Amino acid sequence: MDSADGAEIAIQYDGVTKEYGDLKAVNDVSFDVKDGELLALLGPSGSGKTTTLRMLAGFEKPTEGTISLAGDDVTHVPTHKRDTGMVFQDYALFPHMTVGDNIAFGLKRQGFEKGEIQERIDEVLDMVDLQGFADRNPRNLSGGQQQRVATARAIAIEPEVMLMDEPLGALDKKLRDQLEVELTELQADLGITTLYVTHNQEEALTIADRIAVMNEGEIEQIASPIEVYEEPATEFVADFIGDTNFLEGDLHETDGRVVLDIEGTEVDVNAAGVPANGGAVFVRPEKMNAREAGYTDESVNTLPGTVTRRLFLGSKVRYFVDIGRNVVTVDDSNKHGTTLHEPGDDVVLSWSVHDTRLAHG
Amino acid sequence: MATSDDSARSIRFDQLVSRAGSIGYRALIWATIVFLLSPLVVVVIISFQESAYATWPPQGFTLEHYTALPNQLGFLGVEEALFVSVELAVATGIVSTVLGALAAFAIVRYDFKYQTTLETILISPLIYPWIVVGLSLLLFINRVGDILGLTIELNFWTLLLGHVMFTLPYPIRTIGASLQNYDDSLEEAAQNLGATELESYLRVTVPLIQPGLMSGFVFAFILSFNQYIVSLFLSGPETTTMPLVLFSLFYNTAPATLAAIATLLMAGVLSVIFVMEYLFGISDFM
Amino acid sequence: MTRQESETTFGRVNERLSSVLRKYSDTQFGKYALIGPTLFVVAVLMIFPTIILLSYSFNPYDQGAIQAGSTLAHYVRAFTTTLYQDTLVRTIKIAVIVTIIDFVLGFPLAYAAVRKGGWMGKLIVIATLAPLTIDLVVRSFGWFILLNGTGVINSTLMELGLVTRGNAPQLLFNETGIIIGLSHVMLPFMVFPIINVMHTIPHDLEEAAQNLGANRLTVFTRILVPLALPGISAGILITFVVSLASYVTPALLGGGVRVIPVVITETFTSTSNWPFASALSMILVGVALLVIIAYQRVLKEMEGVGGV
Repeated sequence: MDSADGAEIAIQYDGVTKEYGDLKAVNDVSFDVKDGELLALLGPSGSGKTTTLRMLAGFEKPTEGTISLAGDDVTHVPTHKRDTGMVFQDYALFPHMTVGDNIAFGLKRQGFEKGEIQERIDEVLDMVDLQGFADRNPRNLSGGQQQRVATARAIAIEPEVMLMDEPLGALDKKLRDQLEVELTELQADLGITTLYVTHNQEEALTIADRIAVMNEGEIEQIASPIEVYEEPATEFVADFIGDTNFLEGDLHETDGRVVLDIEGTEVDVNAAGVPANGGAVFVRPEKMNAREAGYTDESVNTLPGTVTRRLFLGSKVRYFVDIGRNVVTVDDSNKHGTTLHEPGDDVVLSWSVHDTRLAHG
Repeated sequence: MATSDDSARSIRFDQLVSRAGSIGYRALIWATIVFLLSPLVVVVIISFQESAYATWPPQGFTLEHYTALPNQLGFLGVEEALFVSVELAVATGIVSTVLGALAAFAIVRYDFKYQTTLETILISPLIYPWIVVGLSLLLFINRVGDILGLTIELNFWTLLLGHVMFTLPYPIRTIGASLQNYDDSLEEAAQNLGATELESYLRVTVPLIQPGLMSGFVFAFILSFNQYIVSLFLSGPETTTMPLVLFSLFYNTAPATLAAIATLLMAGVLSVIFVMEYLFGISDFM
Repeated sequence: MTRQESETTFGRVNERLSSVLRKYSDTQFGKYALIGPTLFVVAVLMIFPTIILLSYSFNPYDQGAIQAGSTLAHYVRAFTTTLYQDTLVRTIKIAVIVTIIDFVLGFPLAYAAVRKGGWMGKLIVIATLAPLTIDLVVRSFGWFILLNGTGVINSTLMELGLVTRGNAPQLLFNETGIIIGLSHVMLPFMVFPIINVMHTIPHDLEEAAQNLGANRLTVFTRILVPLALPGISAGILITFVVSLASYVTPALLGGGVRVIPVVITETFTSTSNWPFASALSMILVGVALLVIIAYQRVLKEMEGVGGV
């Protein structure tokens, strides 16, 4: 189904729950994926993200709720009749077949002719930059090459949606970075709707149009990478994505302002009010600056502290600063004219009120 | 207190002991290998020497015990027994492998409430006395005949029952082992690419567990082919098997003739194994 | 999507069968449907017949015929008649000696097969596997050639002048013959379980122990034996129980010296005293059951069907 029919929603989960005995692996999950969009399901292991993906492929049956593909309810449709192409974590390449036969497997099931299949194999191998690999045995390929074959095999059948289960999880960092770029380009070129499971937050931030952060079977937040990073909806999201300094103190509202009192120093918080069940105030390390002791600026939040350790990381300098109740991390960019503080130095931390966020508990 | 001289001497002594130990160990290994192979090797040697008796040292070299065989085989009942044994072993191999594959699949893929007990029951024929298998099945068949009011004749099918029963644990073990090495996600990948459940098993699972299937088949085949005691109780007049004939020939025929028959049998069984190993790599699951 | 196959017969069968597989694959019915046939075969062909065997063993036998009623007479006869007492004791003694010999030969062999690897490891595995595939009668025949009065061993000893025709050792048609023949038959059953478990013991452990000052004997008793115990106990139990129930080798190499399975077969084939044959068989069953129960413990440690 294409968007000319007016169907903009490619995938729809509606109140989907999956129970294994007493364990709720996925708990009442609802979300949509738009046509051509890449949605990353991000979460720690055991958060239910893989189960969520596998239910779309048809490997698991939801206990409750419905899943729709291109507007059709597929909850009870068998796997082989669902128009999805999956890339498995360990690639699941058939070891008793050549690369070409692996790719041909799905095409044969669709009833293509020999000549068409051959053309299609060459075409997709070309897309993943593996020209001439059709007769190779997948066992003799490197991890990166196996990953490309797995991708080629999935796109060969031109599925409605692509499902990727930690597709880069088994690769080393450098190769992962490279393939992240290639995968995103391929996905954008083909315009293929993709559900992408990963536990790697950097990967999710890099490739996804939107990220659904999962924890204990539920979706904590679903938003663009920037929003998930800058405006995390919950304490879990704030903690799971990126480095975070949680500031401990007494949170209250005075004169319409939300204020955090840290051992007598008041810090303004960028929030409309204090939520009933409290919340966690946090600042990202790169939003903070470590300044000389005695620095004052009324327009921003400031807090005195003592440097306990310094890590020189090349492009940036990372300080660990003791602010009394806890130790925070501060990343200063290594620009010309930046003075380096030494461990033991008293400093004043400064950051804008805008970056002082409140996450719900 | 030990002087340096003493300690040097004790180190030399230790070295001597460890040297003697390692020579003794090697000798034991080689002696055991000789022990394992010599009864097979002497049979082959005896079959090629001139005397009709198993005399030692062997005298001369001849093929006459082999060239004389074709005239004797029918008279000794070997030809017919060989046919029955091969037929029985193939049937046993197929039935045991199919049943064993289903059971192994269930055990590896599913959790059962009394998993260990179940597995023990399934592999218990492995150590269940063969003589009891034969005797009790015969009594069982008689009793069933009594209850149904008819005489059940011992034939190929009663033999097959006994043979399937005692060979079952072997395919269960070999196929179970190959299924444990098999990655379930390959089936999911096949189904995701449009294969039905049946197609995913036939095109992906079965080819990949083939070594386990084949070695289970070979195990069941060989055990059935060589089985004596179970067949003694369950074979009918028309279904004398090879081991039964060999047993009766043991003291009733010229040793050199028996040696020639035995050598041909060994060659036959070993070539079946080598062919299966070459084709399917069965040794991984033996 | 066009699926051309669905129009063919195979296509229809395929769709039908697959939907059945799908429907039952994750259900209780499905898993018992898979294991059911095998359980049925084992139950009908092992458990029921054994129960019938047990019932026969209590049937009185009088005037050459099986009588109605129940009696323990056959068990009493088996355990109290000197002839059968001796046979029982001899059978157990032979099984114990065979088990000891096979452990002494089998453990070093299994160890060498795993640790030496390479062509030596292959040779050991092939040498152990080859006899297993050969007919018991043929193997007994091989021992006959080796062990008889003018056989390979005695001829060689006489050639070397170590013995004369008069005092050549009798190696056949007595317990010695049975023990040698059975040790040969059972050795693979000892070696393979130990090889399997030995593969799972990292060589580092032995080196670490030696590095900590342990000598070879300590490494053997404190490291290898405890870790290889599941394989060793499986090997010992199988060797013992199968030796106890062996017929062909003792029948051919034992001469007039008989063991229980030989007595069972003789009683069954040359008399119609099925009850007594059944009682003797039940003694073997009893031992096998004890071993199966012990074996279940062993199995538990070995995890699954692939382990043993």
